[in-house]
Amino acid sequence: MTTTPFRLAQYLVLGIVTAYSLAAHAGVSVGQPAPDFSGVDSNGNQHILSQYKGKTVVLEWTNHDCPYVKKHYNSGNMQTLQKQATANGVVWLSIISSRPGKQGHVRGAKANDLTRSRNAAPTAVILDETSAIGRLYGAKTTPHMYIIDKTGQLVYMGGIDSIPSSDEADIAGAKNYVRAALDAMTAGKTIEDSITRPYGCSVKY
Amino acid sequence: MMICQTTGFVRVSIIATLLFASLLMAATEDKSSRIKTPHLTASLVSEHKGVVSGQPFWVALHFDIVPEWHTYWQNAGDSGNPPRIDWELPEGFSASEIHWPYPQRLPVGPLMNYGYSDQAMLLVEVTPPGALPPGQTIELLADVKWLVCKVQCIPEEGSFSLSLPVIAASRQTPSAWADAFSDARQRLPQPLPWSATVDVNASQLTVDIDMTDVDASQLHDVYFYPVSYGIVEHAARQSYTVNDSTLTITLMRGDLRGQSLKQLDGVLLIAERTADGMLKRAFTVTTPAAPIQSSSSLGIILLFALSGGLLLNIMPCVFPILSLKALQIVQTAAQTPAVVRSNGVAFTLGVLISFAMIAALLLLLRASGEAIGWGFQLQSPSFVLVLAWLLFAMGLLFSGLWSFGENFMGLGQQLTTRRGVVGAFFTGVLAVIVATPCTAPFMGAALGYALSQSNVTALLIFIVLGFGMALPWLLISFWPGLSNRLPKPGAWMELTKQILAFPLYATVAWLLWVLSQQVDQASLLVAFMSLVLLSFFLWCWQKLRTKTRLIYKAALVLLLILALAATLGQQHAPASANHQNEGEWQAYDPVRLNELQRNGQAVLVNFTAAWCITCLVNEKVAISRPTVQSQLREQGVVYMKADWTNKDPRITEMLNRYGRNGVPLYLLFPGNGRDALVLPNILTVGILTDALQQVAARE
Repeated sequence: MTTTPFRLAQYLVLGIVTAYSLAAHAGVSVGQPAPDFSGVDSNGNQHILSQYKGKTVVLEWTNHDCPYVKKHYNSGNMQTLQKQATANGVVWLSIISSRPGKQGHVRGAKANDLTRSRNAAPTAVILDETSAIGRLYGAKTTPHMYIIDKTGQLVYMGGIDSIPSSDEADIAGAKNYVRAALDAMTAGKTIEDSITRPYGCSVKY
Repeated sequence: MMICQTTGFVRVSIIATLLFASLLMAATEDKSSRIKTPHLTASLVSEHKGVVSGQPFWVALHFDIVPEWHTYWQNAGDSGNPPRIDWELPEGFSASEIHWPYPQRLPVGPLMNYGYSDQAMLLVEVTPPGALPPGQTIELLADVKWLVCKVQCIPEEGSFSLSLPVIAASRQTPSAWADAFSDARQRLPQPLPWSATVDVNASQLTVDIDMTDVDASQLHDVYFYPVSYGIVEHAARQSYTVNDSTLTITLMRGDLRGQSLKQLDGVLLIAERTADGMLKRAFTVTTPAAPIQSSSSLGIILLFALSGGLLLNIMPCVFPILSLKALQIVQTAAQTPAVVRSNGVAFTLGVLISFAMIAALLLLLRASGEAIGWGFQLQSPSFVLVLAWLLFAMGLLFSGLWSFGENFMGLGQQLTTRRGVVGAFFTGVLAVIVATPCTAPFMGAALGYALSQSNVTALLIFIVLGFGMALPWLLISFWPGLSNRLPKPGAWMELTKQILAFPLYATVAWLLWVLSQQVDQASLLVAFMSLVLLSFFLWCWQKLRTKTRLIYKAALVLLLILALAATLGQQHAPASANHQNEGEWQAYDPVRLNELQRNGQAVLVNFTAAWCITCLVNEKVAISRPTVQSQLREQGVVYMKADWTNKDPRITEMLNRYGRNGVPLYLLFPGNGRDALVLPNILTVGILTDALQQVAARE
């Protein structure tokens, strides 16, 4: 294969290629299949998203030292939601994407301590030290919430509720988007707010 | 304050910090105009010393922020929160919303925030009632909540009080803050003095601005800050070009890309070099967005796909197969036009159906959540080996070691109509299979676009691409009087056929080299042996062909298939992936890339694959040239290779982030926290050295 005629061909197609290269975009989108991932939880068990086909899955990005996460845990708001959801057969995965040495990074034992002491009720706490899952989903904040329906479609992405603050007093007046979405799914209704602004600390990539 | 049941040094220290902050705030709880926390000093200040009855005046929330910390703009970006002011004003007073000076970009890892470091001056216009008695003192009260962040974030709040005397207009004087107000006003966005249009499609926004008084050659920076969430992917690179006086900015759409956008709201920052130094100007953009007519845009894309398909004919992967097609044409030229035409149609159908099937498979796999892109077939060693067998068998056929059927491809002989049609159909299938290594690098971006569309549209784009590839042959087959224009079949064809065997062998050699990147050494030996086995069987076939009964032939074919299938089972991936650093380059690792970026290190990332010819040519003629390599060394740019020869979700994810679905992709991270430059898919030494110089200049 000689390179000269090939390079000629290359230049010929350059225009087309550049025209296209600007036009494409990918990433997780509501209404699209949620990308599969596997992660190891605080007890060393592996979880593969596709294994949960047939169940609703909630992904909760978390960082126990983030004031916005504290707002929802100190008030018991997150735990209540976790208990309601898992009681209805929802798989709730709390994901920690903080890199080692960064805020919120914990090992398995510590993650279990946090679950116990905060009386939290996730199905599992996934330790995403390499941030691979966080980056795959484009998780930006803690908390950042995603809901995947029984067919594996992403149906919600965004904030936990409608008032972006770190003040527990705001929880009462806020619309909890995750609860609203899960309720709508149970009732077979369409999810009213399927994409909202996630608010909180940045994920510590 | 937060009561925490868990312990840990980090936690304790953070709690201590928070307690310290709250103690400080408690100390200043008596509503002063100034609150000091460990991270900033917040003040509520007035531009003038007094209030004049009926005359609107300006106050500001001022943050004096300690180094490395920052507060947020009205759109905080990917994380963070803007400050919130709740006013408690005397009777008859009203306060405006915050007027925000344009912010800074604050990249955090892969995320982007917008905010202020060092100083933030948030302006509010207060309108007093008309009849205020002079001599009275009015008090403006404000409860303010803000978030201040370094890497971690601390929510803080305070109650401010600002007392101002009511005075006569003639006695009004500027306060000590007046200069800060006029500085801040310089940074408030002004109405856009130029006409602008916004085009929207599913993945991006294209903003065209007709700039009349900007010298394009002096442009230093152009950035669009969206005022709200979800409109623009904050962390995505914004590219701009200037053509005549039209500035075109391309923005990736954010999370709300699935919804229609009626109007684009944001702040446009333009930085120009002038004789007096850098001039930064900010403008308010409120431009109605026009969706690109999907039909016309689809039409253009289909046109691109058609021309792309046409160009595939001259790509090197396709060449051996098309040489076969050329021979078929010469061969059939003597046939009746009807036979020639049906062959042409059969070839076209073969191409179209193959493209549709590969596309359908790709869409199906992606729908099931597989992280794959175009060219995925070649990530399978089995596929590569089967392709090598196919081409090797064809090469041996061309060389005359064996023949197939009585007449089929027997040059110089009459083809029966039916066999000709079947042969033409499978030539089409073969052409597509062999073309995939070429389509992957060449059409990667295009197919990435196709895959971002609905399944029907995507399939349509693939099929039109195939139609473009088949079109020249279809036209030739419908050419009237073709036989008169082509050379007569004869002995020269046998010679041509034998010569054309060699490009096929060359392709086989290349495929084996690809395979050598995918499997361990023992598997490779098995693969080589399978080719010997294949040629032995074909030789046996030829020897027995005329003498043996059908049952023996069938047994022979079955045996061959079993032997080859067993070979496929023996293809194992190497025990340890070949990811050692070799000399000048490092293997791609997203974590390492992040670290390097944080350390301010410039990095060139080459997304490549052994089966991507464009990639290999780019490496050969551009990246590995001494000029480029020495410049990389001199500038201390780290060169990373992301090898996508085998499946690697980390690489697929990065490709997706840059809107690609395949290799090549070249990213040059400048190392100063800015986004990567995306280099063209076709590299030259010039392109690389220019890009490297640009990066060096930015530092």
